[in-house]
Amino acid sequence: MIDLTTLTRLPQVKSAVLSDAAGGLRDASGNVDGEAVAAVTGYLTGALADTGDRLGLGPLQSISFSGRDRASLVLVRGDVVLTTVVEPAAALATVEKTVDAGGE
Amino acid sequence: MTQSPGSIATGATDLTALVGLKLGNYRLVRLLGRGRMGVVYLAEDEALLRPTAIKLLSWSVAEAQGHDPVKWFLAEARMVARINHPKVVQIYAAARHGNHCYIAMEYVAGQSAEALVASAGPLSCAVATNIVLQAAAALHAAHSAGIIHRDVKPANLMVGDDGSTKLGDFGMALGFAELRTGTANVRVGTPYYQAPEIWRGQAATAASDVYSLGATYFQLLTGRPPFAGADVATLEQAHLTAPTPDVRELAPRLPASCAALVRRALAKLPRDRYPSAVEVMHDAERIMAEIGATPSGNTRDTAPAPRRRQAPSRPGPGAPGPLLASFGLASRPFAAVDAATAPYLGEPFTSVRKRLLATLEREGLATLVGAVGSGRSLLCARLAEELSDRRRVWVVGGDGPAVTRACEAVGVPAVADEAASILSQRLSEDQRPGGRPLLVIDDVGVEPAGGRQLRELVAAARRTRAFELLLVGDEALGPTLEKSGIEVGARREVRLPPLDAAQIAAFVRAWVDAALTPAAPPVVFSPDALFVVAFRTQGVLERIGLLGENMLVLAASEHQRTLTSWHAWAASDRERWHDSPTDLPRRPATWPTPEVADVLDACRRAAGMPPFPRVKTNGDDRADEE
Repeated sequence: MIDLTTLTRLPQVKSAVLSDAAGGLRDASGNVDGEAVAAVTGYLTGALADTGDRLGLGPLQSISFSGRDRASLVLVRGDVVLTTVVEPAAALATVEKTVDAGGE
Repeated sequence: MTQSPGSIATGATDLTALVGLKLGNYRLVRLLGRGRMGVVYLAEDEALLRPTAIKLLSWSVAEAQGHDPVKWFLAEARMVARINHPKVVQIYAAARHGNHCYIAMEYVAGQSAEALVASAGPLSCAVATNIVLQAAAALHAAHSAGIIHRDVKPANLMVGDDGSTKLGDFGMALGFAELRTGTANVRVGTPYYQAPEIWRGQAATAASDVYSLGATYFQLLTGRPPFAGADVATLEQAHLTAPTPDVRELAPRLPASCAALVRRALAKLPRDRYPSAVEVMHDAERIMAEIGATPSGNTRDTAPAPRRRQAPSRPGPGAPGPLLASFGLASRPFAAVDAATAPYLGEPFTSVRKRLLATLEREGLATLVGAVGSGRSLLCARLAEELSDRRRVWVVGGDGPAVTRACEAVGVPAVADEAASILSQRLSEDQRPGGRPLLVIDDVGVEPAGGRQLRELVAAARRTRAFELLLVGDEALGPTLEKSGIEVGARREVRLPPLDAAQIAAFVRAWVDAALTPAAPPVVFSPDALFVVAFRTQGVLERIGLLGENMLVLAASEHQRTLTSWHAWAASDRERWHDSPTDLPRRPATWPTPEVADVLDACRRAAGMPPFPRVKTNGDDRADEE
């Protein structure tokens, strides 16, 4: 299980939302509408999983995208989806390493 | 010139110069129009502080030759009260002031469809169809209440600044009961829109209103009524015998579906028209969807769009335009006009429909039982529409004895003691290659005279097998029929159950997806939003419609495409916002509240999910640590 408390101690992580593949909210931390984020992420991962299948990528593991000020990292681990908002955007790799190292 | 209060109480009066006059609680503000019957003012209701339209009858009481005009107005008001539909102009009061009578009614900020065409020329297909669609909804409500309007025309359709249309002026309307009396054959209405049977001196029926609506649609699309003539006799002959003109000869770029709607509504014989106004609604919806699917098509540019006032800066709650802009909806989902698609979206409708068809085919007789709001009437309407290409189908709604209503719909006289016999004979004659005729009678209740006529009709359906009969009603239908001596039997009964939570979720998603235009981004529902919808509606279709539409209105006002439990909860606390716009609620700082969280937890438990997480922020985390 991904520990949101540990994750949001990172200064670069502004919010984190844990959800299931159907978009159901499991946990949220930070100033975020977790329910809405979970719903959108559920839709997004579903759509991109199909795209990944068509491209032969194998099971979906992560989605990252960046805006001018912030970035978002979505990690898929089985039925669990973690969505983080990261600032600055350049810190994406740090956050992913942290999650993979001990956040789950 | 402004006259002093009370001046119309005496002597000859210029009814167009009464600004400032106070009639009861109403102070006349501005003259809106004048007609044969009198004048209409915009007034301020000083008690309820709302704008009101005041229609002042031009005849004085002394000129009414012993009649009491207030009674006429009250009769109209009672008709409208029976209909109680948002697309019908509501009447607040009828009273006498001095020597004149007035009626106070809902003020619609906008203009009549007639004025719209007069000022802007033929309307675009989208605008005209939208008007007709809403008018058909109003007519359907009137017919379901047993009322025939008898004067449907562009002048009686009030189009609001947001495109919302309301049907007004029920002054000529008659209830079904009155239609069976001598007064029903008195020719009223406006010659340009009158059905052939009215010209022949027959009583008006729902089909006559459908004809008038078709003539109205023709005028909105082309700028002129279907038939013109130098005198009434010429008009009469045209309505009775002249071929229905093709709208596309006057507006070649209109879609074929528009022309088809006009052609069917204007059929010379009532039996060849749409069987009910709700069928007009369905076709109008399809045209709207067709237009939405091809926004670059030529239908929108066929004619100038009507002039509109400046749009409000914030999306009007529930207005179709803002919803379209915010969500890319091809048509307004969940509202009555769009509910026609409901019985085809998922379970239990799909399996119920199959069982109904199989039972009718096998037995020739079936009952459909469902609670109010379960979608049973919609299911019947859609079933009829699906079958009507191949065979004759009548769907009979409204109140009153089932056989009498059926006779009216089929077009045979409801002769006492022989009605069932005449009706079954008529039904049996209408065989087509696609199958036996089907008669659907909705809202079957306790029948008069022990239900003898209905019993005979059921017996004829069983004995002759020449037509199929579907009786529709609520949970009490079986026992009610038994009291009339009609044993239907369990194998002929099909039940329409309330939707369960999973069906509601699938249904809501399917409905919104079906309503989205192809290029529109998705509307996303959180699972918790759907839990709330299921919990607050208990699967009652009508309630789902209201709640669902409110959710979309709320989300549109926030420019959000993601709907959460907050949208669902707030939406379920209010009546339909589309019809009575008020200040929309705003999301509280903390969500969910403890009471909602408890509900969500219970729903989640039932679905095998963990409890809804309680609100937590970075600050809270730190506080926890401390």
